[in-house]
Amino acid sequence: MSRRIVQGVPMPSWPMRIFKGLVLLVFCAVVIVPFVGVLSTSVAPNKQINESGGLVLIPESIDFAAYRSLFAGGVVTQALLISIFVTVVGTLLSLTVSCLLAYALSRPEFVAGRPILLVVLFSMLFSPGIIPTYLVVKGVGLLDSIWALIVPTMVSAFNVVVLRAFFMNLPSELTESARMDGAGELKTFTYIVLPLSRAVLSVIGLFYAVAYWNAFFSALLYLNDSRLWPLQLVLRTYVINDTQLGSAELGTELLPPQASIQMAILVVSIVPILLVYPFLQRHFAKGVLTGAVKG
Amino acid sequence: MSVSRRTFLGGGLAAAAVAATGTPLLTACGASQNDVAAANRAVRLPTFTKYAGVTPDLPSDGVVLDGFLKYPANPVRAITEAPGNGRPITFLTNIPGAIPPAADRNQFWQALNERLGSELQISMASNDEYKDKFATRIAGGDLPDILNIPVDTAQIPGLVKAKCLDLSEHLSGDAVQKYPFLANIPTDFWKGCVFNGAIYGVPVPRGMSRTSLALYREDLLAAKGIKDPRPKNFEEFFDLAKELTAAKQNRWAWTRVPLSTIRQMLGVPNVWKENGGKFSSSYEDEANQEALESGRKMVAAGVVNPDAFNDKASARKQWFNGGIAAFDYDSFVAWNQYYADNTAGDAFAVNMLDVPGGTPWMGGALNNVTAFSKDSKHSPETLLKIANWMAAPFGTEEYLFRKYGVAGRHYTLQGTDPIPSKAGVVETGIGLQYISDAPLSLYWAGKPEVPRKQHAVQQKIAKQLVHDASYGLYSDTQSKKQAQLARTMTDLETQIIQGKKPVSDWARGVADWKAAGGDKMRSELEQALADTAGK
Repeated sequence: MSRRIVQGVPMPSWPMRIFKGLVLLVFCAVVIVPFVGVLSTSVAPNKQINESGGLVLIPESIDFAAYRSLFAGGVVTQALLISIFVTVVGTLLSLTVSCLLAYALSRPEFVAGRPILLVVLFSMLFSPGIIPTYLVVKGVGLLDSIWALIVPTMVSAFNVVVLRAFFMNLPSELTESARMDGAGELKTFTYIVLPLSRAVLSVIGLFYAVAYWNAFFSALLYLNDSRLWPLQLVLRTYVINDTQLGSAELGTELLPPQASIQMAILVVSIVPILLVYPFLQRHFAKGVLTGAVKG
Repeated sequence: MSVSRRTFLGGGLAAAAVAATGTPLLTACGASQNDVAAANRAVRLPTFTKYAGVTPDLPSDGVVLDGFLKYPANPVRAITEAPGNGRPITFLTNIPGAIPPAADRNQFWQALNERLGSELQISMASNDEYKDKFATRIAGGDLPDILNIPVDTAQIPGLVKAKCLDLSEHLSGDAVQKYPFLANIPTDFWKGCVFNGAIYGVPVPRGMSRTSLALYREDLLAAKGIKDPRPKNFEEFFDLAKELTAAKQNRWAWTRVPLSTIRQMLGVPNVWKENGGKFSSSYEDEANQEALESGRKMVAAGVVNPDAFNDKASARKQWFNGGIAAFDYDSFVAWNQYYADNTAGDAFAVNMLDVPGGTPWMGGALNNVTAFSKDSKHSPETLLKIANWMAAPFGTEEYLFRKYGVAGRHYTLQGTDPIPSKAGVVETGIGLQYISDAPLSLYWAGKPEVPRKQHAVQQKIAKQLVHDASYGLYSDTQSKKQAQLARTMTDLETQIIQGKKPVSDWARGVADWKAAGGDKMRSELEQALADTAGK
């Protein structure tokens, strides 16, 4: 029996296909089972979690108590709104500022381009440290302000370098012809460069968004008012304290974080980014590679 | 990356913080150390006057804690005048649980502000992140009025000298009587608040409540026909563990390797031992070899949950609560916590093994020292009045409010016992217990047998309890290096009991520990003791 040929490639034999299928199935399981475990544990009854030792794959019954207790009291809901604000506004501002900087740095005729580029690169190699940054934030009056979560991390040198490389690789004929048609720098940038950069913008936007979404440390340092805390910092108080509650803590009736609440936290913190990712995925590889090949 | 950041912050940043203030790290200087120790000796500690307004059902004898079978009916309101002065007071602290609702949505917090007569503005961080926040705020010169200083903070003497109020004139000797609930804190706890020859803070006392022993599930042992187990030596202890293990049924005796219990059985000292002015560390005790060998045996015999080495407190709690393990090594506080978390129903019962013939270790004396900022616009009297209010003991109306909140919203009364509601648990967790606290009382709402059992165990071990001889003595090296060195020793210990390294490696580990700072700590502690001799 001759083997079927699909698109010029002979199909493997049945045993081989079954074997390959099984291998793929195992890989899928390795990725999916932990997710299912997290999801199931977050809705499983506490008794079952205790009796199974911490992780449940198939819950006996479904109970959203963990999610209810997370969102009760308004702390997590408020934090979620703060996180969404910081992520959306922060990403937009970061993209704007980074694009402007990167575009200027990508123009060979820009006078102070090289020294400014060096300053940008320098910040990539040497970070200022926690206390100097704190003093600056305090000095400009950003303590206890939601802008302390955005302004200090608004420009990422790495992202600027990627953007600059991308802009440099755009065919110079395009910008030159725009100029010949009478467009100024801003018009060239807005109508020619940006529309051609959608791929890299999506990727850099995602980088910024993920960074803003996950950031907790600046909030810990700069925000004393817990009403302004973003989601990740609030959720960390549920998860991180876990390691210490064992022998150390007093309090009278403090409930420790239960496994179901911890798992619900994972779900709550992962889902938003998970929802955005598929829409940007098609740009992902293309966007980063285009910027990276030539510098 | 976070590890390196934390390691950096753990030691260096606090030091940098103090250095940034331009204050010399006085106790680090050899020449001045004697003077400081002599000055510390001269400090008159606050006179202990036990509060007589509440009579415990199971009385304390100074070591054993007061026990209460039920909350006293009609609790007395011990402080009539609001301690605050109408202006906001700021407080920086860690919090042990999840973040509570902010003041505008937290009825407990609002009621508290009303009672205090001042708005209490609390800046919080979780236990794990507190050190980062603490060090940064100090370095930034951004201190609150009331500051929670964890006892393992590096270079506390330099820090308090630069940044905090000297409270000696307000607290020393009989002066403390002006604050009767601070006077109700036994004198020994105040030793940990003396630096640079002055009292720089208010203690948050723990001690006995943090003493840890082997907790066991009485109901699970009873089901096996074992009542009141009393293993007298390691062999009996090991046999008991084997009897309660059925790995095929997913049941193990222990949640973790009970190395501390074994060490206590063998008479290993509690952190530091002092004999005739000479200090020796628990690491150096020869019985460690035997303890490690025994721990190894237990692991090899499979009586410890195989996931024990991932070291997550919540996992241990789940195993113990779910009956996957019958024994856990933890404190009296954890004992109560197990009742709070119980999912096993009414049969659930916990008890504790004592350590016959051994050396049970007294828990760490303090949770933290609460100091007041030099830059505070409030008078020390006002801040001390706040601390005094926070230290009102069990049985008073202030305590009931502080720990349980407002009747109806935060708890319901069952007889005279407050049973917390969900809102109560969430809203009261704002870290008040770290401003100051009364010595803990043994009590569990609605379960009088819990304090009875706890009291009985404490009476059994009271005479054998050994203390950490270094308490109240300052060693600069210990303050800077202990956390890191202890981690190395724990890692080595884990590898040995898992069978990855031979027991003989322990001796080399101890030699390394000595060279890396252990010997220096010893000589500093010996010097500190000599300087405060007679104290």
